[in-house]
Amino acid sequence: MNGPAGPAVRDAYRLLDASDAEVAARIAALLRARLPAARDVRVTRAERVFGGNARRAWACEATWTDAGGETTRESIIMLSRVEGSQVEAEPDGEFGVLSGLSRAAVRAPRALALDRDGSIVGAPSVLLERVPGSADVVAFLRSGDLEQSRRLTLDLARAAAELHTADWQALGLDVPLAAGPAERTPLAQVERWESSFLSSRLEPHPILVSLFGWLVDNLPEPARISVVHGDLRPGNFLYQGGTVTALLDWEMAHLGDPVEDLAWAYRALWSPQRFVPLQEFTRAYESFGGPPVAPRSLRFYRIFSEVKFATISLRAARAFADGATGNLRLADRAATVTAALTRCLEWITADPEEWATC
Amino acid sequence: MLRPTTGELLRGVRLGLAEHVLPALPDGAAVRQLKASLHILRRIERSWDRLPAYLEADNMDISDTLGGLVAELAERGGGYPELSRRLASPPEPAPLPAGVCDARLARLMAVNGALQSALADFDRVWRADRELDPGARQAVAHRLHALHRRMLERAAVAAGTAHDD
Repeated sequence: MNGPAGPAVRDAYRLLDASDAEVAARIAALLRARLPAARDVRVTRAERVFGGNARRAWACEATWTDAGGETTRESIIMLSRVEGSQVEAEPDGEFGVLSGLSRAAVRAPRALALDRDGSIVGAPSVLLERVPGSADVVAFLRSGDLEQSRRLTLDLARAAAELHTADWQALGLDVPLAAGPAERTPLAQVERWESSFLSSRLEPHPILVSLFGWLVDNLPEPARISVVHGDLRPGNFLYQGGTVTALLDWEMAHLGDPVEDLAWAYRALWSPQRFVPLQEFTRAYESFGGPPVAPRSLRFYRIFSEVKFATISLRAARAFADGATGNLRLADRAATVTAALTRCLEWITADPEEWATC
Repeated sequence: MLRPTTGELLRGVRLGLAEHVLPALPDGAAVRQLKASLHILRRIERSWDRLPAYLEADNMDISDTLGGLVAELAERGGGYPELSRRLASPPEPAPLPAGVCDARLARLMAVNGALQSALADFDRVWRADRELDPGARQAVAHRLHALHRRMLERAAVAAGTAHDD
């Protein structure tokens, strides 16, 4: 996790000011630095593409010749951190995870290069394989093709099961993902978000304080410890028709209880509930080989998801209040916290049928 | 000097921007920024005058509920007596918060901040009080849960988000 914004992050503005040709030159420089055996590295057709609130993105085409004389052509996307992000994440974590997962049957883009401190491209960045498909969340969630959207939602359950059954120890992912004993990682997630909350809040927020206490007191025993994506939801995967082609945005990946991902994917703001109800989604996930989903765990992680979303919102509001970002979409994010916390309180006392279907 | 009200002014500004400025902008960052601004203006338009009444009601409810809980638990020692002392003493006068011009509103905000802080600390104290018997724990949790729900309902109305998803 990152510390305060440093010089490399402030240089994101320098990167933002760069022309597409200059960005292409910097990507080429990064490829040369990370692929020392490559010759004739060329980067063309660099263009800015939407990378979300937390990062900036550029797409490009690259070619290079390896030591054996073979030419590689690669469609690449560069993701660069920006100042005032509402998510605490460094690109080297994402690079480490994707490097490990490239050896597993997980739908993830290959990681090609890392600029950890931004000294080459102007901001901490990763270069990833550009996988075909669309990430258009509005087109998916508002689709009139219910059958295709249903297939896509069920394929997301399959993609999640593939990720959660990956052998992270054999893949060497314990090094980039675990900051302590693996069995402690679910509690570590609660502590991590509580720490973020405490450092971001502009007022005491006693209800959030209490909810973090509830989470610690009610932490369920995970069926297994898995690689958890951390931001698995519509908008963070590529799709073609009814198929997920790649899971994106791995900067919040960690080891933990895989139920966390399922609950996050069904937050009200982006839930695919109208295509596949949550209970059916979890049954499909289990049938695809995913670990068993205990109702108690699902309720816990639905509440955890709201607390996490509220914390991200407070972090965004804090970044705007401190002048760390000028993004007006983040300015009033604190106003969303009340609805998230209301859902938590309802689910704490509701019967399982209610919290599993809303 | 009552008209136009602040709400009327905000509505006029919002509609002017939405109808005359937004259509003239090319797609891109400026449109996204303006749409975000319009969303904020709309929320403030329907909530700008609710803060004082909200704070008065919230302060009274937190003070009564938390005061009752702390009084019942004070004899147990631990962190409860300190909370009792804090609740009995008004917060120190402080400079006006950024963006606030009215001294009475600032006072209500200061009291609310102090009560929120005491409520947050109470939560840590009672959760750590492992000698509290299960029945008493359940009773405290139940009363706090009810208080939290009332606080959220009030906050949603005050912020103009009561009917948001």
